[in-house]
Amino acid sequence: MKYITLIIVTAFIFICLFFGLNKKDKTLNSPLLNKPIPEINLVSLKNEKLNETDFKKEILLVNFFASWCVPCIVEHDFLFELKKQKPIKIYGINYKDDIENLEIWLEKLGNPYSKIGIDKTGITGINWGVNGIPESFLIDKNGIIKHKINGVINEKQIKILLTKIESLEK
Amino acid sequence: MTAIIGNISLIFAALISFYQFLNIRNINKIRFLNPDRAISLQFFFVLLSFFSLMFAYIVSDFSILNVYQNSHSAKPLLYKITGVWGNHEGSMLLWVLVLVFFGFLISKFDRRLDMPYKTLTLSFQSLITFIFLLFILLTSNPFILISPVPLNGQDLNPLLQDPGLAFHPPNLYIGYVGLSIIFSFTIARFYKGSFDSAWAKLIKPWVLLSWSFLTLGISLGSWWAYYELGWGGFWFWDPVENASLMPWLCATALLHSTLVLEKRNALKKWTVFLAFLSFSFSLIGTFLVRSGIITSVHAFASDPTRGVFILMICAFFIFSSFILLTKKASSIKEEKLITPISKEGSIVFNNLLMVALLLTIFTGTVYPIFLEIFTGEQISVGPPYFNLTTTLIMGPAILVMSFAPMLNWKKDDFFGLLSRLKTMLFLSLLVAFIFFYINSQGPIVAVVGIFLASWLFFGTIINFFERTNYLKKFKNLNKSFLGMTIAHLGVAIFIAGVTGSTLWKVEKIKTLKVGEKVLLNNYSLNFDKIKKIRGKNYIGHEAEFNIYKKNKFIKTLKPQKRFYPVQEFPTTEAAIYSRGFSDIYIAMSEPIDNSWLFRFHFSPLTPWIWIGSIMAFIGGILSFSNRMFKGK
Amino acid sequence: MKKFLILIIIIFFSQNIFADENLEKKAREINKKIRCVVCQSQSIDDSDSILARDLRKLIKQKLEEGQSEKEITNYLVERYGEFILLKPKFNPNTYILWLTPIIIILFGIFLIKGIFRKN
Repeated sequence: MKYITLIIVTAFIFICLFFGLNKKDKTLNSPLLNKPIPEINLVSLKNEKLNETDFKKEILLVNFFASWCVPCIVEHDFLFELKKQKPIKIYGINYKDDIENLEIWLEKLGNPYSKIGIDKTGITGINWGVNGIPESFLIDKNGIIKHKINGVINEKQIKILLTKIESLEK
Repeated sequence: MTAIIGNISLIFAALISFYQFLNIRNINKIRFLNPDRAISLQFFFVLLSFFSLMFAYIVSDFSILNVYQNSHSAKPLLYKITGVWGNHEGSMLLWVLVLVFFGFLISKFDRRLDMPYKTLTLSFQSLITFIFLLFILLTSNPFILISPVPLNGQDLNPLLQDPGLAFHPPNLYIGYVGLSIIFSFTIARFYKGSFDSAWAKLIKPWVLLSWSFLTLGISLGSWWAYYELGWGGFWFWDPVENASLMPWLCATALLHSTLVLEKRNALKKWTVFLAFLSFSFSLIGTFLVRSGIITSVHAFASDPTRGVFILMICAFFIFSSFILLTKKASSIKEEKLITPISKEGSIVFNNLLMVALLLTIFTGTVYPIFLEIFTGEQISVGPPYFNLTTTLIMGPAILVMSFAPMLNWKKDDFFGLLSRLKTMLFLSLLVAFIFFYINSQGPIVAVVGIFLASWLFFGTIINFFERTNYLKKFKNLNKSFLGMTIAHLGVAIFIAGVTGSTLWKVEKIKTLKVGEKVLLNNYSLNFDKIKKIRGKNYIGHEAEFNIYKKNKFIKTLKPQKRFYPVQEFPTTEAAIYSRGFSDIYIAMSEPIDNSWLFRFHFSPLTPWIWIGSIMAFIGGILSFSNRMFKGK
Repeated sequence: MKKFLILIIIIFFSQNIFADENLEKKAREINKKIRCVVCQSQSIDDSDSILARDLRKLIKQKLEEGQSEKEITNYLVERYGEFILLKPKFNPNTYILWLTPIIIILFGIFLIKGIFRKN
């Protein structure tokens, strides 16, 4: 009797382990999904403000990046590609960076951002649950976070983004 | 050429092991391939393959993909050699090498086994070998070639270029994989012989051997983490660490259960179950580490198809053994009932707690996976959970462990024990009080820890003196008894070490410029120099600290921060001054302007963690040496 | 009078020193329970990564502002999820996790009853 229990429990464990194997998405889920955007109160590169009033008007992409971040260089081209396929507004948040380096970087690689908020201390990053850069957030017209991308926005991610944007526009 | 030899040797080994399994009745169809020769040939070929891989590493043969991915010509020779097992494919080959090695040991050195039983055992061992060789050949072949041949390799993770970590896997595997032979012995016994006291005597030395090396392997890994990873911790309940701890707990339970089977012919089905469970946890551990289901510092590069293959291997062995036990359980005659107050009663108590802890650790380790599957929620189960459950479960176990060896077999009188217990209680309280007095700012739990350690220590010592009639009988000392005593004392010292290290540690994190100093406990650590360093495959900085106590010079410590350009990987080489009763530990971090960030620890009793573990290992080997050469 | 004033000043400053030390201790305690999400197996107390350092700074700041441990951990969980807590909460998601040890021991005692002979 107890042996049968043993075998059933073991079988259950193995089936779970099998399903666990097939879960290939190893990224951290964001608890901010489907919630309004967290605090943001930054000064932009052009000395304007970047805060809540800049949201809640249209669909936006918020992209955390830095000049010292190597994958961000790769992502940069994809950001332009994304804008070409869909003229979406992108806010950049410069994370723990140096303004001089940032300006040089933008000059070299181009500027896809409508506004760039300067997060020198990284507190905005923490407020948005950022654990590494680049990270991007898709935000709808009501200022609700609808999708998060951990890591570089590449071709695959662009496709996903476009589908999501389309469903938001309806 | 090397790759061809390596590959073909593995294929030959696979063919022979397959034959040896099929030839389970030793019909001697191929006359010269009797069981002894067959297993020796398996060992020879796997060893040849292993040495081929090692040779390729030594000469930096980058035409072999595995060497390219894990080595570099500038790497020091020692790490070229040990790098063989610093990756998935190479360590898998080491795994199989230990598998056939144990078969070989049985064949060559265990004269107590009769031919039919030995043949059966070796056949089952060969089955295990065959399946793992198949796994290597199909999914994890270290001899895959690349073309064109690159000029140099990708180097080995610098964290692995270290003596402690070099020797951790071989020792660990002797323990881990040694449990396979117990598994084979057990399955074979269902078909030839019965699970009696004689069988317990047969497997006991092998259980001791595996257990001892598993103990040593785990402590080597832990010691390495302590001095290499730079934060002064020695155990983080990382899934891979747990993967080695679980078979250890099972093996410990098995060791004691076998003792009961040997002396009292009881706990038969339970011992069989533990024998199966131990190797099962070795297999599950292998799965957890190599399948990619859990990400961890240790986990090898993952590949889901490999993961499925390993899972199926686990399932095959675990289910067949459980089903075999289920079917044949009724044929195992249990006769004796057990009295609670007796040596066997205390072992039952110990086994209950060991297995409970084992299953708790397993639950904690896989729970995040299960929860995510069912609800999508991601949580962490970290040290707070494991520390709490472990101390609560092990506490009572240690309490009993102390006087259990004093109990008689069959039945004992608790009140007879009381006088000894009173002495132990008094001494332990005294020691706990002394430690508390010295270190009163620590938490109360620490005192409990010291009390338990002392309780175990004095119980073991008192028992030792009584049994040897106060050392008068020292000359005729039974090596097993001495081994048990040393091992149990080792555990006591280990507990004290863990208590001191975890609860009484003084830690300071400070940024210092050259010339500044920091006060740690009663010591002054003076940051006197910084210089650039260069090694065979790294560059970095070394800081010089001179330690003074009350203006008297004690020692110079030189922590380093290294950078390995090939892998673009920084490491922290902590400097440790180990003084027997405590450690002073300095780790260096990144520079900030012209200051440097340091971590300083004063860790009381930390060396006792390793001293205790080594004692446990020595105790086990002593007992093993007693058993091995006893006649049938 | 002078001595009295000096005494007051000393007490005042020592309060601050003690408060600082206590704060430091409290911060370390909390840090040990927060997972470093960019590391493989460390708490933010153990890790030297940038995020770990920033979080440690933030936690210290919040403690200085007078926030409680609960408020601080809630703040982090809101942004990083329960994953960041090294000690899993006790809620419907984790009942099985926390109760399993107890269930196992009870089950074990039940199993043992069969083999013990009445003394």
